Amino acid sequence: MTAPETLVHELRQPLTAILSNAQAAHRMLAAGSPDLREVREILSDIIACDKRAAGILGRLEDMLKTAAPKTRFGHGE
Amino acid sequence: MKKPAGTLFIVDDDAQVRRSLSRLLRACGYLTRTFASAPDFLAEHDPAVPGCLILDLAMPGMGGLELQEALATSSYRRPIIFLTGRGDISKSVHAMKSGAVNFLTKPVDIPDLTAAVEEALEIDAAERAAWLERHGAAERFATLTPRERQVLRHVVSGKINKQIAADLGTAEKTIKVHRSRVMRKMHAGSLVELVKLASLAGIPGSNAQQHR
Repeated sequence: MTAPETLVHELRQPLTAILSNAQAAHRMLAAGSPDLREVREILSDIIACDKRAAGILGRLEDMLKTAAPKTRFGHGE
Repeated sequence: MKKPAGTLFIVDDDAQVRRSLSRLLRACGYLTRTFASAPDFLAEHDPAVPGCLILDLAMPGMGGLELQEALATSSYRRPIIFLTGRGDISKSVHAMKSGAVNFLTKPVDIPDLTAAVEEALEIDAAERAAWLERHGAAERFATLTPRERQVLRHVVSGKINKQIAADLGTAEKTIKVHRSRVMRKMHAGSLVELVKLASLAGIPGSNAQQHR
C-alpha cells in the first residue's frame, strides 16, 4: 500500500526535472546559438514529466476520495 | 561566466532528475557526470579528481546517507550537497552532522543550487590540498624498504646516527647511507621536513607528543 507521503515525495521528482529542464533551456537560449535539438529534447522531457506528475496527482486524489469522510475533516489524529 | 573547478557528480535513481540537473549545471558552465545509484558511483570513484557530489537522499538500496558513510571511511571525503524532500528533517540533521555541505529541497532553484555548488567546490579545493599532502607522504613512505622504514622511525624519534647504529646492530656508516636514501625518497630537505612528512604519512612514533 502506498502512503500519501510517498506520493507527495514522488511528485517532487518530475517537478524537480521540469524546473531544471526549463531553467536549462532558458540559459541555453540566453547564451545564443542554442543546440535546437537539445532544446527540443528538453521540451519533450518537460511534457513527459508533467504527465507523470499529473498521474501521481490522480493517484493522490483517488486516495483522498477513498479515505473515510471523518478523517477528511480531521487533522491527523 | 564562472570557472569550473571540478566535476559535479550527480547521483539520483530518477533518470529524469539526473538528466535535467546535468543539463542545467552544464548550461551554467560546469562539468557533470551522472550515476543511477550509490554503488555505481563508488565503483568509479577516483578521489584524485576534483569535484563534489550532488546526492539524492532517498534512493532504493544504498541511500545517500550510506554513501556518505562509505566516503567518510575512504581515503577522501568528498563534499556533498544533498537533495531531498521536506519530510526528511531527522535525516538532514544526521547528514549535516556527518559533514554534508548543504541540504536543498526538491525542486531546487538555480541560485540555491549554484551557490551550494560554489561552496562545495571551494571546500573540495581546500580539503584536497591537505589530502594530497597526506596522500603524497604515504605514497613515498610506501617506496621505502623495511630497513629504511626502521631507520626513518629512529630518525624521527630524535636519535642520532650513532644511537641508531647501536640499536640496529650495524655500522654508523651504513645508517648514514640509509638515512640519505630515506631523505631522498621522502623528498625531505631537512629533518624538520622529514618529521612532518612522517607525521602526515601516519607513521607511529613520528608525533612528538606521543610518548611510550
